[in-house]
Amino acid sequence: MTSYMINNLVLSLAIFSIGIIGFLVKRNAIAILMAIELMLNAANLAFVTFAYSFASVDGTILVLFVITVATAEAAVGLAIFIRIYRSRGTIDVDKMTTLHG
Amino acid sequence: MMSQPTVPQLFWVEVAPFVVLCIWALAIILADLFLPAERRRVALPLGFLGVVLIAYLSIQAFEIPGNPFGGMLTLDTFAFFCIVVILVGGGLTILISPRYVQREHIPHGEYTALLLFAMLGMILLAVSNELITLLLSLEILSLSLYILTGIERHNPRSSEAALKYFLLGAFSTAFLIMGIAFLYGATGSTFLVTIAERLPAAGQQSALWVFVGFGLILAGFCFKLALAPLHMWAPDVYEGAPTPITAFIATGSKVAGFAALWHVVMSLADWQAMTQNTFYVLWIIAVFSMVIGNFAAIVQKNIKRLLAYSSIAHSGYILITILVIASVPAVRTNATQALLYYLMAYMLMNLLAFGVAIACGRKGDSNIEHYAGLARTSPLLAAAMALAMLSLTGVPPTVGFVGKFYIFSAAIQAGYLELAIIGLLASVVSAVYYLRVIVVMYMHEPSREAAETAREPVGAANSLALLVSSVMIILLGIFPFWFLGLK
Amino acid sequence: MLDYVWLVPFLPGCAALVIGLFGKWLRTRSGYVAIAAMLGTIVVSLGCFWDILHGKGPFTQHLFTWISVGEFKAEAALLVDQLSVVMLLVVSVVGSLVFIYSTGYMKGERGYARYFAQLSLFAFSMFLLVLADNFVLMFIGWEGVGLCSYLLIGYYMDKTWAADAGRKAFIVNRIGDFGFLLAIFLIFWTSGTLTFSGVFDQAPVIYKYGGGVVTAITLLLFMGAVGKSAQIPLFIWLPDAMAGPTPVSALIHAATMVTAGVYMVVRCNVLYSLAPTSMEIVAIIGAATAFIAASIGITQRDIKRVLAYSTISQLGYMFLALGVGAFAAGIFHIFTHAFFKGCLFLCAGCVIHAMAGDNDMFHMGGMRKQMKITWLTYFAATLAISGFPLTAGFFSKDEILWATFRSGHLILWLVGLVAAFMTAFYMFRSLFLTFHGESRAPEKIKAHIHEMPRSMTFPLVVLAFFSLVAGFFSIPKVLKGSAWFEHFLHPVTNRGAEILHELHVADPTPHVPELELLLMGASTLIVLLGIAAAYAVYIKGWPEIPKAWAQRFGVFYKLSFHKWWWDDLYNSTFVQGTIRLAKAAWQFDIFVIDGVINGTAFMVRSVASRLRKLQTGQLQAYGVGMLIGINLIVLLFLLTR
Repeated sequence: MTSYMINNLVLSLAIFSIGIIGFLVKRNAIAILMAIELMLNAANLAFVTFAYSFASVDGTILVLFVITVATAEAAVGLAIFIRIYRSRGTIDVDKMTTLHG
Repeated sequence: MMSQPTVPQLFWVEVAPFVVLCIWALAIILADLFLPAERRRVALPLGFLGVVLIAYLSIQAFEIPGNPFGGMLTLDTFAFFCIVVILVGGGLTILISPRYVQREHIPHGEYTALLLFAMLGMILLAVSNELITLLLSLEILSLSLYILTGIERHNPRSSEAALKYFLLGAFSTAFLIMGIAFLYGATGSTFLVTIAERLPAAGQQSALWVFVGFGLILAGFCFKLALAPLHMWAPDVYEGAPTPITAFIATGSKVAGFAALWHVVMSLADWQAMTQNTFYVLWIIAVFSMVIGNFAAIVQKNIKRLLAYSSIAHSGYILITILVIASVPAVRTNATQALLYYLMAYMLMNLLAFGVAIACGRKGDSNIEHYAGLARTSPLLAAAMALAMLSLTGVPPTVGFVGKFYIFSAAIQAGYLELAIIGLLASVVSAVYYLRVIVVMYMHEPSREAAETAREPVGAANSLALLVSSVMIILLGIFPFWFLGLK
Repeated sequence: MLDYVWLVPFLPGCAALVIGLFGKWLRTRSGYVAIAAMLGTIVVSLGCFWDILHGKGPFTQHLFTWISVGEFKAEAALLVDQLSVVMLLVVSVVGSLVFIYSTGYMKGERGYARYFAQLSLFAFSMFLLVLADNFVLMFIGWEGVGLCSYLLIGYYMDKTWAADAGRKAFIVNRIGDFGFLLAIFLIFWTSGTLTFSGVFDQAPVIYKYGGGVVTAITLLLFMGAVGKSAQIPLFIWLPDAMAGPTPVSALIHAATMVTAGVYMVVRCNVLYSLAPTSMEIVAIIGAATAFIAASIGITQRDIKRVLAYSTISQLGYMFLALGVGAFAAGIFHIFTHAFFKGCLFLCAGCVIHAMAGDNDMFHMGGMRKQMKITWLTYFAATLAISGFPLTAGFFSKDEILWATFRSGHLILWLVGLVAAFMTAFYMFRSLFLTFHGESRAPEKIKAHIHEMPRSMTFPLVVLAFFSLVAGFFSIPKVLKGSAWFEHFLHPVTNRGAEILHELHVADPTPHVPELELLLMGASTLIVLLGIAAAYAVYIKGWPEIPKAWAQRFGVFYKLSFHKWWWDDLYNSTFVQGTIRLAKAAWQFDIFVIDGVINGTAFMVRSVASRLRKLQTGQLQAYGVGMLIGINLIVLLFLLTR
């Protein structure tokens, strides 16, 4: 494993961890969605790194798919947030505890 | 001479079910746009027709085992069974929907189309033999279900469930993708077959990546299958989602998830680095799920929540077969049969229970006390619910019993006696809460309000669904080989 | 006729289906459909019996393959041999009589058709249980009878106590079934097959005599039997099961279903013979149950509860017989018990009907005047259950006691003997309280007391007749009889002994005819003593003792009518210790066993509500849970690598 790979993977893991922390500490749904995007992009970075080391295009293609998935998720997510905002006037996830137990 | 790039040959028969299902769903959305409002109801019957068509096409496609799309999909017997189960489940879900959709003013076209897209995701997941395909089909499935969960626009609980399902689902997907990245990094391929081939040559370091990668993928599946300790979303989402969608999440996505997990596990199971100990984690997850699911269900008052916890427990039972398949090659065939049979059984029992819940539910109320005296007011519905509960408990001669018997005997053959004992004890505990539903229906007085207000008619489609699943629960319980002998 | 044995479960199964589907249309005719099916099963059973009697040995009928996984196969196959044919006869004859009786008893009840559908379904499952050729099919029947029993216990569903009773029966039985199922898995694991013949043929080879595996298997099987046959410590459900209609109590909770545990143990006698420890436990539990249940029976006021405790006690006798290796004696007691206990319950049904639904014996009395047939049949059956010489119960009970003594279990024999005394006492107590003396019923009900219609008295007469003469099937050799019954069952019940003989572990005790006669005399004496004691207290003492006490202690006289009997008993010459024991046993039932069950339930609930609190509904709380889960999975993977 060459040094550039290690650097990239460490960066990727760092971004992934930042994403996890963001998911756990943010209260605004949009911020949480952004944290998830961070995690997905960290995975993308890992894909590209591995693809480069294998000198194959598979990993790069995978990245395209992941980006598509992330976009679709964002679209659905924003639609849900708007719906929630209309009915409750907030997208603070702390307020969403009607369902519990 | 330049060599011509070889275009992978595409056999239409092999891909027809997937392509046609996609087109069918799109056509329904389009048709919905152009139809006048009062005729839009036709979407659900159209959807059902689509399912029948796909069933026919699938039987054609699976005539000869093949690997269409350049080996990304695999049309093996196992996948065939899963697709049968998913299609039966999807068909029944459409049948139990009309009343509910009508009552809650859900747009018919979107609802049906999304249901079909979710089914497309499921059957793709069941046949996918490659990690990118697996990820994409999982996303098709999940995104459709997120929207369907929140499709009751005026109901804040539905939106809340959608929000939780979406955010937690996306969170778990991120881990799954990271896992795929690691597995890819270790082996240089995303094809499960190639991964399996390259694993023996993997060095010490690559092996580490494989373990981490597989762990993350497993975690992603645990979320989808609502296995403890990644089960916490399930009760909330099940409670908040529209009831037919709850039924569909509880059944279809589990069947598809287990099918995909089976493919992944099978590709790794024969690698020598994977000893029996390696799969100990599956043992722990199964026990956690059985215990947490069954215990937490006891104190539930809402039928949908109760079924959510029960589905967690049932996922635990089913995971036992995956554990056996992964760790003891000698029992693999038996365990696979057990897995397939239980998936069918589980789907039938749950759809029957949810079908009854829809048939006698009123707006926004699914409290168990609401079923008091149901045996008096509508004896047939009560009998159907009782059958579902008994089957879930595992009383012979229902499918629930035969399924549990298959699973536990596979576990014992593989030497997991303790798992069988824990499973049996857990199902003794489960008798308590399943029975409570029966007791409430048969032995409590109906509330005055329930006795006076006339129940709305069940509807032909829903009745048909209930009848079909009841009959199948008993028939497949008495003649299990009818299902296992299909292919 | 053997080829038609499939008709036996098929007919009541069809009846259940037809009544279930067309009950609304059939209404009262549904009873006739059910009876016709049952009469058909009698004919087939008799035919099978005839064939077996004439040496057409064990016969297996394959219907279809039910479960088939790899090398494991569960066939739906029926096995007819000496043992199952005896059970067939008992179930079909007693069943038919109870069905006939039910047409009178349930007349005008709501859900008449539903009742017969469930009863037919019960008969179907019971036949399946008895005829099964492998453990799995037996388990199906086992669960089926249980299910029908809960349904029928909760028949009067508008009464909460009936619902609670049904639920209690269900949960207690689940505990037993858990053991049974585990035993099935263990058998499959060790022998690779589940057919009776397959397992029993291999047993001497694969199981070591007294080995751990076979002991575990037999104990787990016995756990199932304890649940189903209401033995200590799982007997609490049976008295509560009396909440169901009385014919149901007669058929299911006395004559047939509760004996399924005994039948199962006899069926597995090969395994039990290989596990002496289990045999010892079976014998001890049986004797203890016989004793404790009999002592509780003494103080009950409710006529059905007296009969329920006596059923438990008699089942205890059966297990005692099995535990000491007298398998044929156990089956013989099932056979005779089915008749006299069925008769007693049906009589109790008549009495309760006449009393307009009142079960309390202290409100009855003097009913022999108005209800001659009921009285006489009850009398006959009481003689039989008490073990009065030459009645059916005499032969069967004596055989058990003799076998116990002969096998060297002196203490258990003594316990059995005392229980026999108590049996005679409490059964005659119930007879005297119900039918003799002056009526204590309110005037309104008194005027209402009358004999029951023919449909209800006819079964009584038949059953009473059998309770008197069924014993002659097996007159012991010492009384110049042929012990025919034992001889008939020999091929099935002696297999265990044969295996032990081959292994040279059995020590055939010498037969001493004089001793047997002596013991027979002793138990006869004990029984007569019990009857005499009951007579002294409840007939002789009935008017005088209370009056005498009343003159001496005015306080007692002022006690309410419902209470004085208790003081009477306390202060009469009757052994005080027994009463105390009875009370203690009763307390034990209520506090300890209910306590254990409720305690477990409480623990389960508290765990459950704690789990519930974890589910806060907060999104990131779930996220943290997930993250912990993911870390656990990955870490475990790396650690177990």
